[in-house]
Amino acid sequence: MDDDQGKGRLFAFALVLPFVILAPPLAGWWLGSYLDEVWKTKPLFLYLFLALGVAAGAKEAFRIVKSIKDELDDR
Amino acid sequence: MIDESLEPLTVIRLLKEKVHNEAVLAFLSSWDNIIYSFIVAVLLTAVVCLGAKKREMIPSGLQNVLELGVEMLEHLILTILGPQGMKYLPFLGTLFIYILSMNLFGLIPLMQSPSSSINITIAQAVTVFILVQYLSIKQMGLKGFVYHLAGSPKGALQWCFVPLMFPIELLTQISRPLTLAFRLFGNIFGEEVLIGYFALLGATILPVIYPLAIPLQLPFLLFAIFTSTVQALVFTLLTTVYISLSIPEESSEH
Repeated sequence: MDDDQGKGRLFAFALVLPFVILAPPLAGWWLGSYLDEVWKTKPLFLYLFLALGVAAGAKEAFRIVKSIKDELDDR
Repeated sequence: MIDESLEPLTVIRLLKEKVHNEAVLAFLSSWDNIIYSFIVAVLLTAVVCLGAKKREMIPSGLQNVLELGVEMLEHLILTILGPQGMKYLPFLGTLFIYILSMNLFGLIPLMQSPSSSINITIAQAVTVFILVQYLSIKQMGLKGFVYHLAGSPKGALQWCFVPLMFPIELLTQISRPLTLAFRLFGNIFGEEVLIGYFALLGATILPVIYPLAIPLQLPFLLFAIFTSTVQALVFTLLTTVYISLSIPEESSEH
């Protein structure tokens, strides 16, 4: 992999990082609220999906940070 | 129901004022953003057809501009995806050019950005979502895809976490189109509202003090060119990264 390609990938992954951290908790909050409204279980699913969303965001962020680290190790 | 007087002055609004047929009015009201995005698609096709009409080895004029754009996009996408990104270039390139044109379309007088409608951005995000899922299934096979969704467990301990990893991975996949759609919509809609209100301010409130209308929206129009390009770039880059993340590490060449 040449230097330009490495820099490009790093830039793209760094750009995507805030979105992947924030989006899953928001999606979880929305999905949880919707299910709570349908099944009248407020706030059970809200908390459950919010926690899953936070975990999903952290997992995805970890994957991206790991690939950035691998990228830097390769160079 | 949106107050008609608050609607921006566009070709469709002018058409609606002229037409009195209920069916046509309903069509124009419901399909306005589709009509604008169709106009953008037709214009883009016309420009590309015009540029590719007389293809020469040493390009000049429009062919030169188009080739420059294609080469820049090719460089951008290949730097992220590597040589295997070549097969995704037509889709990602079209996505960038189409979104950029839609974003900039609202800056033309009497036109409106189709991407300032949540329906259009959701449609684009769903298209990307379907493509990413299709590519993942194609690359890994259905079993491999489900295994990937389960967090690619290897040992007995990792298999115990599958019931937890599966919904987490599903939520990650669902959140991707949401990020794409709401970010693009929010930015372009905000940009349009800002330009609209500053134009209104310059034309109605300030002339009370100063006799002439001041084009207060002008700096924001220039800024909108920048933000429109950035938003199209971010959408394309996010899609490129999502494709890159969907390709399992073993099969990616990096």
